[in-house]
Amino acid sequence: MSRLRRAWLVALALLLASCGGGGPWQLKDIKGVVPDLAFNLTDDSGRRVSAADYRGRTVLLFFGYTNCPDVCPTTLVKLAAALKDLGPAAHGAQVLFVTVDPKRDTLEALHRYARAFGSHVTGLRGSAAELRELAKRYRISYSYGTPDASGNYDVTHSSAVFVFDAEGNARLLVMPDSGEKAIAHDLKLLLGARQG
Amino acid sequence: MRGILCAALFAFALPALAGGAAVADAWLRYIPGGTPAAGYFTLSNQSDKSLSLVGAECADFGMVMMHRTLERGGIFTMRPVHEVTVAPGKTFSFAPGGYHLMLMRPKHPLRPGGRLPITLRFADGSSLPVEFVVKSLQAR
Ligand SMILES: [Cu+2]
Repeated sequence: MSRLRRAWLVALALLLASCGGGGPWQLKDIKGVVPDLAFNLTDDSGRRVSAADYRGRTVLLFFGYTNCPDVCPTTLVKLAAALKDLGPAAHGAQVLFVTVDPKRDTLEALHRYARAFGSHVTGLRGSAAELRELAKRYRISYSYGTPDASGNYDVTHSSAVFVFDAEGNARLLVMPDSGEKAIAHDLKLLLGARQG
Repeated sequence: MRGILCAALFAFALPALAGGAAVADAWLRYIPGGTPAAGYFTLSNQSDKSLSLVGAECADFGMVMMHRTLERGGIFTMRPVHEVTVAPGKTFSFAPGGYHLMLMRPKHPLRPGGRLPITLRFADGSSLPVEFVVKSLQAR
């Protein structure tokens, strides 16, 4: 299954590479390629939420887990820096951090983690079934390693950040090598289009 | 002050100080709330023999491991690393998105701007006490 998902990602990357070049975007344009925003999860304050709760905002959807001290913070810090570049316009943007490790990531842990990165970040958690459904929708891969003597285990996860416009349409993909400037540039366009 | 004292104590407690090993830019990104922190530094081998880093210890964390973040086809994973060998005259960097010290189970909250003593252990049995600067989340 994970091989299948990886194959899908590679296919997506190839497709995107072949049709890139046009348009004003510096990030990967995924309009019409990735499904629109839809989920049923619990936010880090314990509220049941769905995509409808974030209509009207530009949503940055990111999958990770709090026991990830290297890649996840690097991405969240990069997103925060890009949003800071936007000034007050950033209020129209919302980062949703979905944990792929709901077993260890309690709502409380998720809340502390998300808040540490700023008020624009909200942690989301689902049951195993809810997470599976969401992962399937966005072709997100995650898996767990074997726990060690103290119960710690590795989590493997996709790194991309999906960007959705105010209507919930998938628009852009932030990759690990996407720069802060490119993210800020595209978010500014997306947020501007919303107001225009 | 406490850090310096600790480093000095560590130095006395350990059998031998690593000769020719030097560390620069040692820092760690601390995330409040009990989740693991990542430690980064640049290790240089100023001796004429190869230098093998085999682990690290820190009294303020329950466990310290060496990890490497790997990316393949957009999928990230962290893998334990058991040994990092630096050739004579060469340097090796632990940096975001690559190698890091995985500092697990913090015993108490850390203060950004503070210092944390961590001891690096080498294959020949020697070790090197290093002071890591605790940086806030926004550090990169
Ligand atoms: Cu790690």
